[in-house]
Amino acid sequence: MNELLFEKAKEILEKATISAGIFSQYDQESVDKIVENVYKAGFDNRVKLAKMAYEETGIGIWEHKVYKNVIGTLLVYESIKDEKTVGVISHNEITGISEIAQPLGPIFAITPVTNPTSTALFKILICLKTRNPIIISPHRSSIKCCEEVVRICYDAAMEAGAPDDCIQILSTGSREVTQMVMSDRQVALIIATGGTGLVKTAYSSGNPAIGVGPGNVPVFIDESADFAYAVSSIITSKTFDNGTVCASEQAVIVEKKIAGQIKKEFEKQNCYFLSPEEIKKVEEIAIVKETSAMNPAIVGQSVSVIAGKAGITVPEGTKILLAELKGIGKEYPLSNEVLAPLLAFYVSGDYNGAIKTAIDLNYLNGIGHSACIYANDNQRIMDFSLLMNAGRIVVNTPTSQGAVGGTYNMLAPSLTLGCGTGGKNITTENITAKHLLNIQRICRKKINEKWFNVKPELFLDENAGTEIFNKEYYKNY
Amino acid sequence: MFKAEFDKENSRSLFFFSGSMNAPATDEAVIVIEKHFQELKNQMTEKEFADSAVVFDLQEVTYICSSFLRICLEHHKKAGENKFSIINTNPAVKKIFKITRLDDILNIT
Repeated sequence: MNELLFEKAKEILEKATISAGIFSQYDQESVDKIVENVYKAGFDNRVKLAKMAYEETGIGIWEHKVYKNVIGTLLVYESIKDEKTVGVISHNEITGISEIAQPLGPIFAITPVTNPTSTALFKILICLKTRNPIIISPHRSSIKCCEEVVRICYDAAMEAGAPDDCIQILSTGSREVTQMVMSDRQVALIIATGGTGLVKTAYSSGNPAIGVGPGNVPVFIDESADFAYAVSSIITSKTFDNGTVCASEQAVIVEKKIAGQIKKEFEKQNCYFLSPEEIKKVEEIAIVKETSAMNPAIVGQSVSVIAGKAGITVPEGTKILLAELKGIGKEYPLSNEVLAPLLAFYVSGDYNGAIKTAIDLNYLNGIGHSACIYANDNQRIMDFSLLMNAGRIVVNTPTSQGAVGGTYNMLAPSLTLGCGTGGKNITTENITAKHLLNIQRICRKKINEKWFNVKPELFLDENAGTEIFNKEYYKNY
Repeated sequence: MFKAEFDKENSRSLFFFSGSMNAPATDEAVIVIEKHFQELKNQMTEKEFADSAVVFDLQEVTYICSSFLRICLEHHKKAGENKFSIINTNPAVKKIFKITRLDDILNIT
């Protein structure tokens, strides 16, 4: 059985390699026509694909997955459609440097179970825009919906004149086969959107990889914030697709002096603070004790499902469960990331204490991802931002929507969020088409006259320190 | 535009391709190639035919599609490793064979 799967994977890789060669001949106009056609097809099928994703995975809310599909198609398309991705893309007369965009080659794109169709649509668009054939590797629980994405997009691409096999899917569900493909020399780049283990495997493959890091997003509500707005915004984000976005809020931090008002506001807006006993029960079903990792069975589940699993009763219509915690780390399981409508809540004695709590949470398995502040004091916003280790510090914004960009701010719309070196990634940016190009630079001669001021023998003179050397180097400059 | 001829002296079939070898142009070429081989088979012994070489001249080619690459691979298989070659590729087309890694398999100059 595995032998057949390996053969199938090899065939897919060979086809992708051929496709890369053919695609490299396309001009900008042809590429843009293909991207437009694929975006339209993806957009037109946004509802069907969202329903399929929900039915197959049982995660999240299908209506919200429609919004995600719109982000993955319309917003991504809008953000890349006017970009130059073929041939000479810039020329600087002053530096004498011209930039040429070259495709990378076959891209192996891993999609997560939490956002399967939107991530596949997004990755297909950015790969086509950059003339890179794509091989989608879906999570084993979201194969059918991803196969449908690939079918729809490939048909649309072919209709617009794309090369054969520019979009393929490897849906074997076999870890060994996936690993084999990741390390195959025909793969130019891996875009790994998934769990830490998978991202690590991608990095260990020997091929270049763009990965993502885990999130553990702290939200600080400052005393200067509009409390009702802040709470409403957090609810908008944390209930979006039942909290499946990796940038969704994980913990709210407030100073003691405003804690009462914030709690009241959450309760007023149909959120529920768990009692210490209820926290214990929820911890048991939300976090795997041995690893401190979230339990996959509650990812993207509603409050009623979580409450049912925990054996607790909460008021009907509760939007989010909040757990007030006194600490961070292994002893406090809910201080870890949980992709569900469940939030940790911290009260600190003063501002500095609150920020220190935010730093601790940020560094608890969420380095480099995202952070959030609600404030109307710009100095507080700046102080908080300088202390966070996060690729995105979103301000007065729901983090799920804010971090992926395109709706609440001008970040590049993306379903793959770089987390910098803290998250073991190469960039903190939202991944988009520009990351899928080899930029070649034509460097025309522009003499550094200072260099030629220095006599050759001075370079070799051991006694010529910076004072003597620089005197010549900067002479008449 | 496409031309086929047989070089008796060197016992090789020469195919001259030109312009864009997109899918329709490749389909047309396949018909001519097949006809050419059919005629050769009628004129030669089985051994003579098997010993003859196949050369694709791409001097005038500006674009190739995946089906053109497929016919290159098919004729490489049919003719045998040392009897199929691709000659006179322009630099841009040569690069396509590099990217697709077919230069590892095919004899290309």
